[in-house]
Amino acid sequence: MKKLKNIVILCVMITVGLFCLAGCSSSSDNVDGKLELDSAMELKYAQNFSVDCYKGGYKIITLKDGSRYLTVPEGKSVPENLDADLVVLQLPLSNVCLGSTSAASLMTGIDALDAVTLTTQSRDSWYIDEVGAAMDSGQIAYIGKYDTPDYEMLAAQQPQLLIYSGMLDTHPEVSDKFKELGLNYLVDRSSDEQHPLARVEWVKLFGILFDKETEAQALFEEQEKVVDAIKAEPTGKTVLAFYRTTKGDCYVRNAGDYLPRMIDLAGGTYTPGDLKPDEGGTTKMDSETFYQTAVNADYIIYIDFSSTEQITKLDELVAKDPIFADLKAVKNKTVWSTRQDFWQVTATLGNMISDINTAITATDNSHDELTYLYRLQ
Amino acid sequence: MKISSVGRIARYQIVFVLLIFALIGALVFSINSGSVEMSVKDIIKIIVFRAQEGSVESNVIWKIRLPRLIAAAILGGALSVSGFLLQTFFRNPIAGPYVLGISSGAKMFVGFTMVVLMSYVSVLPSTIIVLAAFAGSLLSMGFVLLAARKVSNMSMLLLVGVMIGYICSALTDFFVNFAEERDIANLTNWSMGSFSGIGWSDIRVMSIIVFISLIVVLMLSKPIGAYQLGEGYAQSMGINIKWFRILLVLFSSLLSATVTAFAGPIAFVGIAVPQIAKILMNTSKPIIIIPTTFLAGSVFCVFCDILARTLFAPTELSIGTVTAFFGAPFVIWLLLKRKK
Repeated sequence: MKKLKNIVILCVMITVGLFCLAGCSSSSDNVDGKLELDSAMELKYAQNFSVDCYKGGYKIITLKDGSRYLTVPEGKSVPENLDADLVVLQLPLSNVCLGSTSAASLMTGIDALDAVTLTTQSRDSWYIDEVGAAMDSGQIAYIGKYDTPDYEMLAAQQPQLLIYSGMLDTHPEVSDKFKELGLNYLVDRSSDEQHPLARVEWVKLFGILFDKETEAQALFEEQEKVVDAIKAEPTGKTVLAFYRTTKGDCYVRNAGDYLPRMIDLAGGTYTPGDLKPDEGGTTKMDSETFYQTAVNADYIIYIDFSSTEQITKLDELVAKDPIFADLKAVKNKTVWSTRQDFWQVTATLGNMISDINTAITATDNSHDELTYLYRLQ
Repeated sequence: MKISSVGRIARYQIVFVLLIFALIGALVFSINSGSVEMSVKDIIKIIVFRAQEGSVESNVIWKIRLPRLIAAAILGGALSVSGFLLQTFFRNPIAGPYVLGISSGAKMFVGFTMVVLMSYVSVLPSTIIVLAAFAGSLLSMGFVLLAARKVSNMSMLLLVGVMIGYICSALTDFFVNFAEERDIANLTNWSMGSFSGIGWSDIRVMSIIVFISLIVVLMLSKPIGAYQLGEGYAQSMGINIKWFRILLVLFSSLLSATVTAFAGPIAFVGIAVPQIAKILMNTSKPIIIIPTTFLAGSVFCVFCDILARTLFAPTELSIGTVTAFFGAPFVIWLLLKRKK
């Protein structure tokens, strides 16, 4: 009897523990139509959103830009006297317009793509297989570019939510038109996060929106475990990440960007480590500075944005600019290129870090089977 | 003599009536084109009787199609009249609002706003972009005006305008060097021009500026006509040339700045349409050409906008792509014709 009691207590503790891990209390309690604060969701890395959990399963998501969203669980009523700026999202969401590749990746990771019906990216520009398949099947329709979407189609389809990337910030006329048409939109700011796992942690936000919190928690923990498992000791190997435009300009990732952070987590040392350590994104470099920066890097991650044929050989890289032939990584054949989906995938950033780790440490042939990188021959 | 005068008036009337019908046709075609299928009967009911208020169809007509096509008509007309004024001022058929650096000035300010201001604020209100484009356009034309006080040779002044455009472009490139990829992409998209996303509040502002400017320009018809016959003749008619030139450039700038502010730079309309109007009317009389240019510009832009949003729907072409596709061959033809 005592043993059974202990098992029950243990089960209860595990259940409570699981909910604590997920950050919010159960949504099964009877509170309906009013907001009674319960707890705040615990976020380990993400800086650009927060979640307050209310009794009855209501949640308020607050983004860094100040926008706030109240999710109302299925079957529950909308509380009265809400703040005017609070966007109410009655769950479940089953008609969503997707304009952010990061969000698409995270939603795919928790099997929430069924809710997407529209997108602002054409079929050819998607490298996430699941989204491509959904477009091929007709489940997701293209509605035109993010800055000039087909407003008529949007007005007719009335998506419950439009998930846009930060590109919306400089097109206020688009968000103004959404407001005029009574359409709710949310700007996915995961790409503003500096830590790779913070980007992955945005899956928790999408877990709330699509009632997939358990899956979101599991995905996040899995990626965290992948990174923890690497336990990369600094190898002392210097790694540079850059891309070259067709005009010949070289753009090097800033030291404060998430990609250098991924390289550090993978055991590499990003070079140039002093290039804007507090900023994300890239810096354009003139040829001389680039040469000075890149010449002694042990490894290079070449970012290939090509939408058609990607380069596969070092000769093709050198053909773009002969000075590349002098780079140590080119001479040692330690140049890796990103695959086309590299910049759309967010859900498995942990696996990408693992790939980088393999690329700079493997002494066997295991680096021939990487998912997100390939070696230039 | 009398017969030819009657013939001319008849020609003016016929062209006017045809242009009005063409504009009505373009507007009807435009309001009946889009992703949401609606019968003409329903569209009439929605517009005239405010039927189905709050429905998808009503929202599409009142919040999307109507503001857009009205904006295309107003801004197309404004841009064309602006081109006519500048061509008159510079006595040069290829002097258009954007040859003189108006778009470059606007792009410089919008670029500055997108690249520099975005570092301090997370979201830009749409009025800031509109004001930035407006201020940039006026600033570059302000410099042309300053130069106009010193330079009397029109070709030299045109060259000064082109140079100011280059300076603005260089400054824009300077910002772009420090910009993030997404800001560069957004600036590029803005500089291609579009009537997408225009709302009723925008229509109100642009209507006030454009129609007041148009009335003033019409009132200037007589001095413009005298100026066309030469500065000496205009002076002998008692026109203060210095002030007249300032007014001409000022209203031309105001019109094109309004277009750039709300729709971004739109190429070739300002150059091509005034020439079309002159060919249609077979006269350069400002009192005839100004309204004709406005109407022809409206028709041209409404049709180009229909093509821009329907040719590859749901992907929308920039309005500049369509206007240049039709406008550029015309300008080439015009240059070749002048050469002959």
